[in-house]
Amino acid sequence: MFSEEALKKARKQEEEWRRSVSESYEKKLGFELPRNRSESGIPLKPVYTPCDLEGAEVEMPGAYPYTRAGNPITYQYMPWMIQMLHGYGTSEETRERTEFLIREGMTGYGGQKVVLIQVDPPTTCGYDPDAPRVKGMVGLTGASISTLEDLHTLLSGYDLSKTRMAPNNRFSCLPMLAMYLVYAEGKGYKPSQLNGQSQNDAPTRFITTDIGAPTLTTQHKLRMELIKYCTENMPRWNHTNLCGYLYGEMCATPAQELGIVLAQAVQLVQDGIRIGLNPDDFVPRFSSQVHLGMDFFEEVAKLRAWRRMWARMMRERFKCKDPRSLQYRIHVQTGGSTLTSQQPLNNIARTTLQVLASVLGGVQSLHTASYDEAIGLPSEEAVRTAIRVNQVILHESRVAHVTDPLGGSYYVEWLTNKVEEEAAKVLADIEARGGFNKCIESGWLRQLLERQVVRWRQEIDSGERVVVGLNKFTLAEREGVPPFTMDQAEIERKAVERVRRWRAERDSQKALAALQGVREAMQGFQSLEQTGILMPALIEAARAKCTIGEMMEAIVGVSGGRVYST
Amino acid sequence: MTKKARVLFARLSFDGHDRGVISVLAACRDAGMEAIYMHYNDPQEVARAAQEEDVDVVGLTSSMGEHFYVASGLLEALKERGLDTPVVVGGVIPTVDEVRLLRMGVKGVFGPGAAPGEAIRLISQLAAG
Repeated sequence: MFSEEALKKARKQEEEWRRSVSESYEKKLGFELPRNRSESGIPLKPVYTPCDLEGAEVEMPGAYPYTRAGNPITYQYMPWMIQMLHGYGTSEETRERTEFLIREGMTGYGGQKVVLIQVDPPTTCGYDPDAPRVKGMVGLTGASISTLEDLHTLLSGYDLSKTRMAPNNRFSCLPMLAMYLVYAEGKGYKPSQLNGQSQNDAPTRFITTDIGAPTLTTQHKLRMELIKYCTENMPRWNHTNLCGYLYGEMCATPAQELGIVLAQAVQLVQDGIRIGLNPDDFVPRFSSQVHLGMDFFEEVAKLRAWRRMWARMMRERFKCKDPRSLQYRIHVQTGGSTLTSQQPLNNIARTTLQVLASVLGGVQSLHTASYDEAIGLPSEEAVRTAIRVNQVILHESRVAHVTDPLGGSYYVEWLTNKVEEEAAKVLADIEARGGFNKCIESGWLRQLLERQVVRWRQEIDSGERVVVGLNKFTLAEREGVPPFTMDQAEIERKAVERVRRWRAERDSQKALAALQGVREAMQGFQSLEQTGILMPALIEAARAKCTIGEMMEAIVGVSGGRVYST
Repeated sequence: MTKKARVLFARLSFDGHDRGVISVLAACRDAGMEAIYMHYNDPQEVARAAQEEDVDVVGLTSSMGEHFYVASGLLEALKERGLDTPVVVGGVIPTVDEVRLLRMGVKGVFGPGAAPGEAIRLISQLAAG
């Protein structure tokens, strides 16, 4: 990036700067330069110069290794998607919220509808609302979805070929996808026309939420099954959303988040090859949901390093040739745990910084947390404001006029390199321990995160880490911000009644036979080599009007599961 | 020397949020208490564990809005077993819900951002009787 002559000059200038700081601050004022560190623990200097970028090459957006952007131009051609993760109650309440969000500006590429649905805890784990163990949980923090009728409520009237459907399930992604395929089939759409995404990241959920689940081996089989099915039938569907977000919420540093996600990608790409897929056929349909914390520049650097490391790994290690395999696409979710319930309006300042960092980092899509999320489900006003943060940045600040505006910044380029180095260490560490799945099985990853959580809390308690309104600039009296409320018991009653009616009205012989088909397929699914055996049976079950809970029960009943406990 | 306070922390297995309770667990252990952590599907399991483990205090964590449901279930289950083990609740609990929880018989509520130190102080007091 710099000639030898320019570097020589810069070195001289840096020496002069150093001398002047020493004389005017250190000697004269007795001021000691602070030893600041980034969130990932990278020691920072107070200023950066070309000397910190010796040997750096000039890079353009849209060119390998895509540090600056996957495409030659970014938001000047297409603004980022404003995708709001939403859902609560039944499919009805959720559809109302979807319509509200669309009216306020939630939008995909080219005005496409985006339906990024958070499902409730029973649905995410694969239980219907009338399962005995889910009592009291139906409709909390997400939508209860168990039947084709629910999908109809969520999606009726939408052109599915122009709708981005992205249900956020933990363990029940495969039954959910089967049901969506059958719903779409009923409306005349072929799998190849459908656009959207499965989360397909059960292990991340498993490790970070430590929740009752199918065994890890089963989870991995289900993931590979989904990848194979989508690769062969759904070219527009993102089969796997590698979730860094939950690691960030468990206090992983930005570099750790990146390293962990890459380790997971290695596992999946290796196993994809093992089941006979060509990397260039399935790697392009990976994407990530990335956590965005408060270390502004390090987060920007992380997003840049993320694209670069992905591109290098896929090209050099997995020999991908299709540029789409190398151009990584990122959806950001602003960190819910960075928000405080104290002085909640302060959270708008936090999310504004996070959205700005995401945009400067060149992401494709954003979910912005609402300022009242530390209190409960977001209210309409709060969620509208979250959308407005995006719109102000997009339409008023003009930051989207230039692609990768921080490219060439001595500091940001240096920090991008450093985050890459740190993330590479985390990746190497996980691989040395046998890879991603092994590190979940052994509990190593969970322990790493628990240590991070405890450290975070200690830093808050000692005041070393400042959170405005929480441990500094606090108010004497406590504010009682009213939470968004819903009548959970009534929601549950409604959902239970519906699923029971659904079962009563279908051809039960047909449903039972289809579930038997799922069990048989699962019995035959002994190892990854049989991948591909399950999805056809699940699609048959969805056609026979089986519910998500029933399909999941058939899977887990055969393969076993457990409630993780310590 | 009084015996070490024993505290049982419990999280509904469906509720994946445990960042808060992990910090409180660590703080309890640092303060010299014995802290047990369990996940449950039914508050009955918590009451049984409280009895079997002979704990002085039970801490429930809730971050999805299930606090009334799980707290009332646990208080009832403890009563059925003839136990009067004090119960504290932490997690994403809206300030406006605190009074109702306290009226139900919960001894302390620690909402988002509450310092573990506060919880530890109350837990030690409750454990000391």
